[in-house]
Amino acid sequence: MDPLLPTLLLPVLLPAAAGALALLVPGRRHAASSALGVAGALGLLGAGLRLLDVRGGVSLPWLALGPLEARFALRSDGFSSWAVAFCGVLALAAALYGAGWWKGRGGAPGRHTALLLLAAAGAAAALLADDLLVLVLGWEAVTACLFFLAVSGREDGGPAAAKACAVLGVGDLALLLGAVLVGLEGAAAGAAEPWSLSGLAAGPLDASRPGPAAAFLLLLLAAMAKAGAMPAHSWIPTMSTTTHASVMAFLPGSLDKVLGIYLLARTSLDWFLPSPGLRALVAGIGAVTIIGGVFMAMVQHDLRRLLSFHAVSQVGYMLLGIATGTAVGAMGGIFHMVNHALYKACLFLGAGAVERETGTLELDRLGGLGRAMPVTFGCMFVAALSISGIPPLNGFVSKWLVYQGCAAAGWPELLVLALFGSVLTLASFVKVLHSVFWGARPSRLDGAAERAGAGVPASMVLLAAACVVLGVFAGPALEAFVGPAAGLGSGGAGALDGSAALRAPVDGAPAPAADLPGGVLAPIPLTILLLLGALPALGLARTASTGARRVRPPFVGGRNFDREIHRFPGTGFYGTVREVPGIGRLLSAGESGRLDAHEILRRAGAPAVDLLHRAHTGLLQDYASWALLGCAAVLGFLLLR
Amino acid sequence: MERFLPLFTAVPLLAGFACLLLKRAAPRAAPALSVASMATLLLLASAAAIRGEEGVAFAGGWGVRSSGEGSFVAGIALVLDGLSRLFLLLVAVVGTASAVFALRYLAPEEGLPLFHVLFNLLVAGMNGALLAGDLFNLYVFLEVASLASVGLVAWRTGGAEVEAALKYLVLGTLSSAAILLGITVLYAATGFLNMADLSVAVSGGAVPRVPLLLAAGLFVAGFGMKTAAMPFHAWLPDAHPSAPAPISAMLSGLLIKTLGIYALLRVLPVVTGMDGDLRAVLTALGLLSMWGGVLLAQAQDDLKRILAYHSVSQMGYVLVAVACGTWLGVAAGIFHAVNHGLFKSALFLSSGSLERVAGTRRLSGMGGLFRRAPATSAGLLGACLSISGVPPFNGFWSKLLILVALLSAGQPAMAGLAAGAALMTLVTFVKVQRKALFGPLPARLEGAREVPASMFLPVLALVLLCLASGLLWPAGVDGLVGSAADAVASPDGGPGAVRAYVERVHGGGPR
Repeated sequence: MDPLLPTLLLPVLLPAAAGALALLVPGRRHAASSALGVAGALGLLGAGLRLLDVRGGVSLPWLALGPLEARFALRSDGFSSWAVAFCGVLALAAALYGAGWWKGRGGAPGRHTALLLLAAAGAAAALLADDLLVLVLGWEAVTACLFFLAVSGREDGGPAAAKACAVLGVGDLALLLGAVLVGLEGAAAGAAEPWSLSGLAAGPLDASRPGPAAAFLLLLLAAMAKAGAMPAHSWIPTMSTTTHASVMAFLPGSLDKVLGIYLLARTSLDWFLPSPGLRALVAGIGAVTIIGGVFMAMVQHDLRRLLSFHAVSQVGYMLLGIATGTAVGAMGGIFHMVNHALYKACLFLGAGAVERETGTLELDRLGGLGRAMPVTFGCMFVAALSISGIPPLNGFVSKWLVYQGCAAAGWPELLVLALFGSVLTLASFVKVLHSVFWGARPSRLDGAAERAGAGVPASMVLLAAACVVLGVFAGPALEAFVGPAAGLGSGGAGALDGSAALRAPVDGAPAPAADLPGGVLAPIPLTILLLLGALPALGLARTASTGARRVRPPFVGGRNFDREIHRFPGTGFYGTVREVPGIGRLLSAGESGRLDAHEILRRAGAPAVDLLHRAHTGLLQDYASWALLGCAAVLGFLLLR
Repeated sequence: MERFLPLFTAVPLLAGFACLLLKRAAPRAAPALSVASMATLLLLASAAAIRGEEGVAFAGGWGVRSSGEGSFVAGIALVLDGLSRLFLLLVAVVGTASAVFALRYLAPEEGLPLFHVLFNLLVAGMNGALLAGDLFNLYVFLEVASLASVGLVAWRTGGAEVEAALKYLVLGTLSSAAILLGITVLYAATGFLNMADLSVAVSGGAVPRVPLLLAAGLFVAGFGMKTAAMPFHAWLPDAHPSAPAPISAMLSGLLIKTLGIYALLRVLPVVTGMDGDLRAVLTALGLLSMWGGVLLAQAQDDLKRILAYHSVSQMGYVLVAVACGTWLGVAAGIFHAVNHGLFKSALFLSSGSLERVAGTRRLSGMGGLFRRAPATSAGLLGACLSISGVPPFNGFWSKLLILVALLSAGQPAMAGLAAGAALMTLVTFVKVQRKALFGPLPARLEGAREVPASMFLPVLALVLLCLASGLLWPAGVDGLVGSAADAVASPDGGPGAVRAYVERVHGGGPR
C-alpha cells in the first residue's frame, strides 16, 4: 500500500467516522454529541495540518468502462493541503459553537453534529480529489448534508431546504456534466489520464474551443451555485431564516464558499486556459453580484437575511479577483475566500447567539445589546469591520489585492464598482451594529445576557482572532498558502512570492498607489501606525465619558420620552435607497422574488405542467387515440423516410 | 444449467396452480407458496448470475425438423444469456420482496388464493418472455403476464380500480395487437419465428426492406406501449396506483421492463439492427417520456401517482440511452433499467407502508412521519435518494453512465435535457421526502404506528441492494451489466453480438 494513502484518507475518514458515531448518539445527549463534534473537527484539523508539508498523491484503479476511466485518486498540493486544514478550523468553530448552543436546549444535537461532520468529510474529499469523479462525489455529499440539515433542523425548514436543494442540484448536475465533458475532451485530445485532475493541470484545456468552453461554463455554474453568486444565490437568503445559525455559518457562510471558489480557482487558473471573453464574463458576474448583493442587503431588516445577502455580495470579490487572470488578483480572490469564511462564520454565529438570548433577529426589535453581550459584540464588531474592508483586518488585505488585480487587468470601471460595493458594505454594517448593539435597548430585552455554554464565545473569539491575525500578518500567510495556490497552474504566473505581490505592481500595470515609495501595502507598519493614531482618539473618548455627568430622562413638550416608542432602530437607515428611480424598482422586484432564478424557472414550467395535466382527461378514447396516432407516426416516419 | 431453464417458468406456474387447488382446503397456504416459489427462483437466478451461466434449452423437444444445413430439435427455445440472466435475477429479487411484503399487507380475505394465482402467473409470464427464443412464445408469455396483471390491477374491485383495469386492458390489447401484427409480417416475409433463424434470414439480405421496417415500427409501438413510453403511457398512471402496493412494485419495477425494454432490446437488433431512423424514433419517444413524465409528476399530490409518472420518465432515460446505439449506451440503459427496478419497487412498497401508517396516499395529509415510523421512513428515504441520483446509490452511477454515453455519442443537447430531467426528478423527490417524512406531524397522525417487520424489511433489503449495486459497481456489478450489454451490442458497434446469439441457439441443439 502506498504510504501516502492513510495520510490522504484521514482527513476524510476521521470526521466521517465521528459523524457516523454521532448519528448513533441517542436523543438529547448533547454532551456526547458535542464531544464527538469537537473530536471530529480536531481530527480533520490535525489531519489537515499533517498535509501541509505533504506534496504528492495516490491513485488506485477504480472504474473503467468505455470512455469512463475514473481512478480513486487523492493528492495534496499547495492549495488542497491548507484548504483541508482550513475546513478543520471552520468545523472546529461550528462544533464548539454547537457544544455551547445545545447546552440546556432541546432538539437533536446528534443528527446535527453528524451531518456537519459528514459535510466536512465530503468537503475534504472534494478538496483532495485528484480525479473528476472523486470531486463530484465529495461535492454532492456536501449538498446532501446541507439539505438534510435544513430539512430536519426545524419543522418549517422544508420549503427553504427544497429550494436550496433545487439550486444546488442545478450546480451539482452542471458539475457532473462538466466533469464528463472535461474527461471526454481530455480523452479526445489524447491525454494519458483524462479524468485525472493533476493530468489536466499539466495540460490545461483551451477554453476558446466550443467543447472546453462548454465544460468551463458548466463548471463555472457549479461553482456559482455552491458559492452563491448571482443569479444562483437566492437559496442562501431563503434558507437563512429557517436554519440553525451554525449551519448557516458552516455551510453557505463558509464551507460552500471554500468549495465553490476552490473549483472556480482550479477551473480558471489550473485546468483551463480561459479566453478573455470568458474571463470578462466571470468578472461581470462578480461585479453584478457585489453590487446587487449589497443593495439587497442594505434594505433587509432581518439580520440573517442581511448577512446572507452580504454572503452573496462578497462572492463577487472572489469571482472578480480570480477572473482578472493576474497573479495578484487570483491571490486576492482566494485570500478573500479564506477571509470571508472567517468573518462571515463569525457574523452568523454571533447572530445565532443574539437570537438564542433574545428570540428574534428582527432589527426593529433589537438594540442596545452591546453591554449585555460584550463578547458577541466584540467579535461581531471585528468581523463587521473586516467585511467592510477596514485596515488592518484581513478583509482589507484581500480586497486590496482584488483592486490591484482589477487595475492590472485593465478594468478600472470594475475597480470602482468593487470599491463602491465595499463602501456600501460598511454602511450596511453600521446599521447592523447600531440596530443590534448600540442605540436604546427595548425593555423586552432587559434581562438579556450571554447564557450559552462556553463553546459559543470560544468559537466566535477563535474566528475573530483569526480575522485580526490574518490581517496583521497577511504577508506570511500569503507567502505560505495563498501564493502557492494562486500560482499553481500554468494559467497563473508560476509560484509567487506572496509578500512580493503585496508590494510590487504586477504584470507591469501601475497599481493605484504605486507612487508610494517602498511598496504598496505593508500590513505590520500599517497596523502600528493605525494603533498610534487610535490612541489619542481613545483617550479623547475616555475623558469624554468619565467625569461628572447628570443624566435626566428626555422631557419634551410636557411629556417624558417613552424609550419603547421613541427608539430609533436602524432599519430605516437606508430606506431612501428604495426611492432612487431604477434601483428602487429593482429592489422591490428582488424582494418579491421576481428576479429569483429559482422562481422564474418554476413559473416557466407551470404552463407546460398545466397543459399536460389538462390533456390527461381520463377518457379511454383519448388515450387510445394517442396510442394509435403515436403508432401511425412511428410507422409513417420509418416507412416514408 | 440448460436442464433447469424450464424451471424459471415451471416453478411459478406450479405454485400458481397449487394455490388454485388449495383454494378451499388450505387458503392460508397461498402466500407461503408464493414466497416459496419466489425464493426458489431467487436461488436459481442467483446461481445462474454468479456462475455466469449461458445456454439454450428446447422445452418439449418434440420431434426433429430438417432444415437445409442439418436438423435440430424443435421445441420451445429457451435462451439464457447475459441479458436474460440479469433480468431473471431482477424479477426474482423484486418478486421475493413483493411476496414477503404481501404477507402482512393483504389481510387474509376471501379470494386471497386467487391473488396468488395471478401473482405467480405474472412471474411465470415474465420469466417465460425473458427466456423465449422465438417471437411467438415471447408473445404468448407476454400475454400471460399482461392478462394476469390486468386482473391484479382490478383486484380491489372498486370503481376506480375497474376503470383503471379497463383502460389498461384496452391499451394493452392494442399493444399486443401491434406486436402480433409485427410478428405476422415478419413470419410472412421470412417464414421464421425463431429469432436466431430470423436473424440469419434477415442478414442474408433476401428479405425486402418494407416488411422489416413495418415490423420494426409495430414492435416499437407495441413494446413502447408495454414500456409506457409517451404517447403510449396513458394507461400507466391509472393502472399502477390502483393495484395493491406489492403489485404496483411488480408492475412498475418489472413488467414495463421485461415486456418493454427487454423485448425491444432483444427483438430490434435481430430484425433491423439499431439503424439511424429507429434510433431517432426511440430517442424521440424517450425524450417525450423523460420530460412528459417528470412534468406531469409535478402536479400530483397522490404519492403513488407521482411514482407512476416517474416510471414513465425513467423509462424515457432508458430509451434515450439505448437509442445511442453504442455499447456504452446499451449498458447504461440496462443498468438504469435494473436500478429503476430496485428503487422503484422499494418506493412502491414504501408507499404501501406509508398508506398503512398515515391512512392516506396524499402527501398533503402526511408529515413528520420519520418520528413515528423510522424504519419505513428510512426505506423511503434511501429509495428517494437513489431515484434522485445521489451518490453513492445506484441511481447516481446509471445517471452518470447515461450522461457519459450521450456525450461520447456526440449528443450534448440530449445529455443536457437528460440532466434537466434528472434535476426535476430530484426536485420531486425532495418534495416527497420533506412532505412525508419531515415537517410538522399532523394532529390526526399522533397515534400512527410503524408497520410490521415483514413490510419494512423487504424495502430495507431493496434499498441495501441499491446501495450495494452502487458501491460494488466496480467490483462485480459491472460484470453483470457488461455481459448483459454484450448480449445485444458489441463494443465495436458491429453485428457481433447478434451473431453470437445465433451461434448459441444453433449450437445449442444437436445438429
